[in-house]
Amino acid sequence: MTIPTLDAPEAVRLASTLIEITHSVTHGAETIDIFSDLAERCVELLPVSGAGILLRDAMGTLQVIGASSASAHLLDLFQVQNHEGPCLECSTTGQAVTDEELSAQGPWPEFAQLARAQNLTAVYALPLRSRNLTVGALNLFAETTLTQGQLTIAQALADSATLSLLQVDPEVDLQIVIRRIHVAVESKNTVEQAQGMIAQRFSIDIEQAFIRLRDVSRQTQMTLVQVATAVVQRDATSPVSRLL
Amino acid sequence: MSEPRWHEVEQRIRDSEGKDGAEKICHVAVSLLSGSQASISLFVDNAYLALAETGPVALLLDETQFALGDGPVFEVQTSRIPVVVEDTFSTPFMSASPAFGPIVQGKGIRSIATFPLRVGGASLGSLNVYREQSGPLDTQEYADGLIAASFALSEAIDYRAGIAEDIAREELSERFATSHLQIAAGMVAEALNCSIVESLVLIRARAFADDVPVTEIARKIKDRKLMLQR
Repeated sequence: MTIPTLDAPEAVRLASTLIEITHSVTHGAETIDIFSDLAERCVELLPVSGAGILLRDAMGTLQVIGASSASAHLLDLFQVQNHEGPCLECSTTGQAVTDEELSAQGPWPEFAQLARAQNLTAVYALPLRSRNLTVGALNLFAETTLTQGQLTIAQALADSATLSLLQVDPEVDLQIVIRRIHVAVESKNTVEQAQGMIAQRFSIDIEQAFIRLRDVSRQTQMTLVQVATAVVQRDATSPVSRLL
Repeated sequence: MSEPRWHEVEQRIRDSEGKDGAEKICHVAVSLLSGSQASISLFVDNAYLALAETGPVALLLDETQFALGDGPVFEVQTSRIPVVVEDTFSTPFMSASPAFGPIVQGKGIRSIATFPLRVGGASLGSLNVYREQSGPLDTQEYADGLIAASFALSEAIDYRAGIAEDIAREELSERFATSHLQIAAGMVAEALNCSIVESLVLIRARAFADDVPVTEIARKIKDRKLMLQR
């Protein structure tokens, strides 16, 4: 019998990632930062080309809160705007959805076509949930199919990030969940407004504008939302004003 | 999936009494949040403006808070989340609001729930509900308040854009929430050197003039096929 040593580099990397997510969750990081990070970590750890996070706001509308790339963002947004796709089904039913065919005759033909145009062969939607409450979905966009073990890892990452919304009370203080999602959506709105301003200022595209904001966030050690807020408020006293 | 809650709230607003959309929203907010009166106040360039109210007490209390620079209605103008005073007779509230406290108590108001009319960096005002009983909002009331506030945000932008249109069924929930619109609003604000609020108002005015959805104008701006003028 082989004794599992669990010291393979990827096992250690997974453990480190879980520790980091747990750390930011317990240290009160902003919801939007936790979920944006989750999307990036999925791409680092799993054989997927993109990941995106959707949360359902108080209006019942799904909002794209974080994505690993512009194309992942687009695929998420497409599902919301066209009211079709695996993430809609997943966030409604609370069950994981797997589509490894992306068929034009499937349940979401237009989404499947868009995904195939991006060389994807499989799309997965995993619920962001705690107990009986589904607050959104994690989407994984892949060029190869994932194993059940890889999907389990993705669900573990998703569950650890979702704790940031639900950790408050075992009986789930729903009002706090609603408030946190509301703040995350508002943060997203602010970041997008700042992206628009920076894209216009430097005649660059929206994704490049996001990268500029993120670079400034790293240089100044401010969160992305703080940087975006300084941009939209045209805060001349902020270090951001010298860097953008 | 069950019908989204906002459909029901929207239907109630449609069916409500009230001379215009803003006043209807106030009446519905009163009924959904077990209030006695409600109001929508705008805060434009640091100046207060009453958009609608269900009665004189709400109007008086709003005016008083803006005049004093004190109270939840004043505080919520710079907040991303609702500001709720659960008990106006509590010591913390009394000591935080020594001038406003006695006035609100004198009107028999025991709790106040205020919801910001805000999208990203654009803050337009608030939806305010005055209640005769003390205590927190329950979860449904809290969620309904957020929904009513997003309708009120649409009304506030329409008002600023000079549009007097009774609540129309143009996916109100999505009207000012989409990603395209946020990006477009940022681009217009940068190009015209105006605030995000002004930029949203310009986009809404253009959509109304062209008789197309706001999101269509937003998409053209985002794709750099259209830029607005002041």
